[in-house]
Amino acid sequence: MIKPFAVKRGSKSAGKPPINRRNRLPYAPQEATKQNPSWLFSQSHAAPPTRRTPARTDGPTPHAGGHPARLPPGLGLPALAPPSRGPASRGLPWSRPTPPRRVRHSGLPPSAPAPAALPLRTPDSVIYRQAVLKCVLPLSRPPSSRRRWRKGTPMAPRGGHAAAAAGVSSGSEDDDEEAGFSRSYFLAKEKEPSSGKKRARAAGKLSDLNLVDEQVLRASLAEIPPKHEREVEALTRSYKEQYRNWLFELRCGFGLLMYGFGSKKMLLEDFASTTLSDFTVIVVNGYLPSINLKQVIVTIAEIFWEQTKLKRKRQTATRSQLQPFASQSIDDIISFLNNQTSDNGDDNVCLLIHNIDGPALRDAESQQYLAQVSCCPQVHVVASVDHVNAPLLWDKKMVHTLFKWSWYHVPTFAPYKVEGVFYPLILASGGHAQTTKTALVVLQSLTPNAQSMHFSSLYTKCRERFLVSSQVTLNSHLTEFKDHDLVKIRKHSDGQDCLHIPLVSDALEKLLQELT
Amino acid sequence: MAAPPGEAPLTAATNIEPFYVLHKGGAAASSSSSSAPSLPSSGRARRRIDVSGPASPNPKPGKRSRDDDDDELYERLRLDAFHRVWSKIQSTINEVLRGISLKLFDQVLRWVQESFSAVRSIARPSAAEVRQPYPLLTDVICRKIPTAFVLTKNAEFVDDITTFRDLAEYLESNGCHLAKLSATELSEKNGVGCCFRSLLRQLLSDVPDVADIFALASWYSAAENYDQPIVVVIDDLEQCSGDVLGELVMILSEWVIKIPIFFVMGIATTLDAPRKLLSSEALQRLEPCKLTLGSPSDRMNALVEAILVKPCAGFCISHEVAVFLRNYFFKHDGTITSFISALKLACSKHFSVEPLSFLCMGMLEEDRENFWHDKFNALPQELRKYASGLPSCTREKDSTKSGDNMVDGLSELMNIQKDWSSVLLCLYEAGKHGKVQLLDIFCEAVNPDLHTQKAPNLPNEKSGTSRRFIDQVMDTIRYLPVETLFCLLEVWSIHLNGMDKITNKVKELQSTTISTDSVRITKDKWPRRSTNSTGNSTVALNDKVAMLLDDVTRKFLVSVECLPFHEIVCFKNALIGNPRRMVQLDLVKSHKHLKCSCCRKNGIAVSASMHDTSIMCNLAQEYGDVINLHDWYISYDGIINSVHSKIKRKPHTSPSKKKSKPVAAESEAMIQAVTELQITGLLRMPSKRRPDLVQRIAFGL
Repeated sequence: MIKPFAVKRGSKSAGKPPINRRNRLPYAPQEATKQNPSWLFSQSHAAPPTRRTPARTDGPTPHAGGHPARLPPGLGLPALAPPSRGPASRGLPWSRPTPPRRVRHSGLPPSAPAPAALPLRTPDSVIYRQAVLKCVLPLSRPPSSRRRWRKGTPMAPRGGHAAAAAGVSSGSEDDDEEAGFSRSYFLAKEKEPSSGKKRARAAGKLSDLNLVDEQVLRASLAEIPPKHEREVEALTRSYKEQYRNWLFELRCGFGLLMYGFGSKKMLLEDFASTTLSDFTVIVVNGYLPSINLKQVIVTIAEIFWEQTKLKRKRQTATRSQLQPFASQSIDDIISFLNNQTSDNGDDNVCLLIHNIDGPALRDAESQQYLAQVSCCPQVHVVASVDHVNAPLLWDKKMVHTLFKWSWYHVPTFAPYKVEGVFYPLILASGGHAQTTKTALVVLQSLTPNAQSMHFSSLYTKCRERFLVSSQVTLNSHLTEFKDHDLVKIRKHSDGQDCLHIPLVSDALEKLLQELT
Repeated sequence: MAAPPGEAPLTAATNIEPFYVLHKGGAAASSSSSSAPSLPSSGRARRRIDVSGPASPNPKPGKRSRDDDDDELYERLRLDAFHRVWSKIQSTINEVLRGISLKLFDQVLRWVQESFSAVRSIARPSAAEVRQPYPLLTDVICRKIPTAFVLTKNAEFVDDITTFRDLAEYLESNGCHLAKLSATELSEKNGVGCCFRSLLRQLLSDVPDVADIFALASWYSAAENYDQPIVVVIDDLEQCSGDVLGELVMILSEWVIKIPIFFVMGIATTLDAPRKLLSSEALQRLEPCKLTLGSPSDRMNALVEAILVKPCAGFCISHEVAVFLRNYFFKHDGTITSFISALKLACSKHFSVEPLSFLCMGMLEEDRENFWHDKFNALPQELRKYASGLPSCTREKDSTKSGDNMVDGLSELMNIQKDWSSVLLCLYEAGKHGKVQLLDIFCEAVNPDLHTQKAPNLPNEKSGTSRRFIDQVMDTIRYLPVETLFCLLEVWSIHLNGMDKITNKVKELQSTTISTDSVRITKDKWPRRSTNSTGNSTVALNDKVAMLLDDVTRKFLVSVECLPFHEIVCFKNALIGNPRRMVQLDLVKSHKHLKCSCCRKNGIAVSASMHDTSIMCNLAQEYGDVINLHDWYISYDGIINSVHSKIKRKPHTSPSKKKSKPVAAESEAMIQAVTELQITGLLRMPSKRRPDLVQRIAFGL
């Protein structure tokens, strides 16, 4: 198991990095962009506050934190900043107020200027920073520490990023509140009974904790006793006074965009059912990964279609042909919606979108369609966002001429119960327990012949045991394993395929125990 | 909301359904109840019954009081007022912007006409020829599409949308066939076929299944279409796909004699853009012509003058809002569109929040005073009381009869505003020579502090900052040459029309200008102080003009916020929407929103009673861009189970057993908190390779 921070923790451990860690590069830069479907939301566009200029006192590599201009508050208009890597890091959990070993780094001034000068807002800034670090480091580092750094620090390739995370950052924290947080953190740490022992030990590993199966966890998550139940309720109720204003702005032609911490699902649905009684309200659960926007648009069109049909029936009683909206293109449906006008103005449809920044709606196309729908004459939009970078979804044209957002800050602090269902859980044993269980299920459901095939040696061995008679059969068995990630194939240096089981030995042991 | 947010009566089905119809609107619901439930997707339609429970806003639906009716009536009035006021402002904006762009539009039209006659002079194919499914065989020279590149010089393309829309309307009204192609249509994904379809959709009444050039040719050969050119407007060239556009150009250029299609392309950057975008082959098929739009700051000045300085619709903004808008325009955004949309938002918020704002409509009426009288007499008691209690009125407590008082107050406010805008325009006219922007002067002119420090010779710090641009204007006047000064006084006398006293003074100055001017017409045009006697007289004149302006400024430049009843016409709140900052602030300072008694006593420290996500977020502040989950968990656990914590959520959890125990029992709250941090985008989950570490995404506010 990797202990990425072990080296940097205290002065003692920093001197003796475990040798077997030298080749591990858990901070490989390409790793960062891999996980999230959308770079927009995985990358940090945040600007660290200018005050927090980390003065490195102990960190082996300079802190290349940048300070892009703080976003001025303004209408929540999208700040069209270029994508940038997540900038700097600050303190650390173990940044105890121990006296700094090496006081300052001569290569970079301790405070703001140098890190701030690095152009962090360009996409290639990581490379740039590394280049800068390369120039700075050899000059300023004593040879011994340089070697140590190269050898022991697993985060070397990320340069400033990870190294800054590892350095003890005392920082010029002139913000009282920040200092307050830090103190409270240390207090928390001090209270730990085994804190002394832990200090010597490296940073904690997840495997130290007894993890529980995800299913069990999900079930127990539903039963968390709520905190501040009354206050949350009062807070949510306090927004009721604004309902009339919201409706007013909706009628003025704006779209309502609610932001702030806490689930706004209940709030918005309450608003819709109490105040928007004149509207036909369609609720879109944007937090679900399974949204089909076309169906939504088709439904809106069908509602309008039905309304006009009814009207015509009343007036002329002529039978009009039914439009199969589902078979039309979205553009056609939108142009149909654009032609809908009402003389009395009460045939309005309100699209209530929970999490318009939800995972399934994050692509540009969906947002374009939503924007186009939102500016149809009879359609109004009320939406909520939860992601801090949500405004980056829209360009100025969408914000000002299509959505016409009116922003409302409505923190509710209500738990994100349904919204969180589709997010992966931490501390759920995505590791061994989970794999063991899946492995067990898969193995048990295999044919007896396939079950008896373990790993390593190939066709011959299986043939010796009369498990398979041809390579085709073997391959078909293997495909099953491969599909479930029980077996992986690597190209060996001699060009042959090499099979292996991607399970940790503990897990394998556990698996074998359970199998027998 | 009666139902506590965790236990929604909402069934699980609606939570996991991608979308559903919550309820149908008044008209639709009543009509559909009479008819059969005929919505094709009625399977999804679901009526929410009990969302808000007993605490709904209308607890006694049967007993609608008169107050409710009044509320509704006045709300409708305000909504009408908003629509009227804003449509007036919007039409003013359109007029101003159109007026600025009209010169360009004329140029484009002339160019189109010239190009059309040039094309026709080469060949004039008959309708039958046009319909033939192959292009005319002509020289390469005749295969060039006349193209106008319009340099927009804007910070953002968004400002050009209206310009190009107006241009299209203008050309269309002058007899051209018009089509617009956007960057989305000219994208790799859609290809040239989509462009053609879009072209045909805009030109032809019914689009054939196969969208090709022949369809276009046969449409064009019709007698009613034949005598006009087709203009294709592409508003942001840089965003288009070069390949697709190139292909389109290549195809159309073959047909340009038969079907005279011309391009008008908007370029946001420099004239290099088409060269970078298009292949040389396609470039050769274009016959370029360069045109330029006015600069954004010119447009801004014109807009501010028309909307904010001249009381065009009766709605105005406070100093705070003005400064916000100015900073937003000059320092952050730079687009007129966002300026206008912010103004619209301000306007709607004003009409939404201010109960008496519907009286703004009076400014648009012929007989204002009557309108206000009528409205005031009809006001319910509650609103009357509100009117007399407006902070701006309670400042001056000498009301005799509140009704007349308000009407008089509003009339006076209008008169003072009129003088104010005249003086402001005089300032701006002078400031033009010193390159002062109108928005800057405007922001100073609406500053209520300006009025409170009326004494002319008090050089204190505050007046120094609040009168920066006005002082700059004064300086400009002091160094103006006589001829310019003369012109300036001319313009002033126009602006000050109606303010007799000052007009007389201006005329006086004008006459002295003429007299000195006639003496000294060929002499020094740039008089400096203390040069010679004639110079001295002009210096004195310059000083006189400056003094007059200074005097007038101090007398008449009264900020609207200093006047009684300004609340009715002036919007004062700031407009802010910034989720990145606010969401983090919510979390860091959760107790401020929740207003609970348990968390605040600890001040800013993290306490166990706090919202779990708030605790996690506060703890995360201590980390770098990665957070060790184990440590995070342990410290969270430490806080929750701290000895001093009054609230022991899990009594069986003793700190000493922590390590050996299963995690789940005590950490659901933390896990939920981390999930919530994920939802807000402040955190990213551990990867497979680094299962111990979560990554922080957003830093700072």
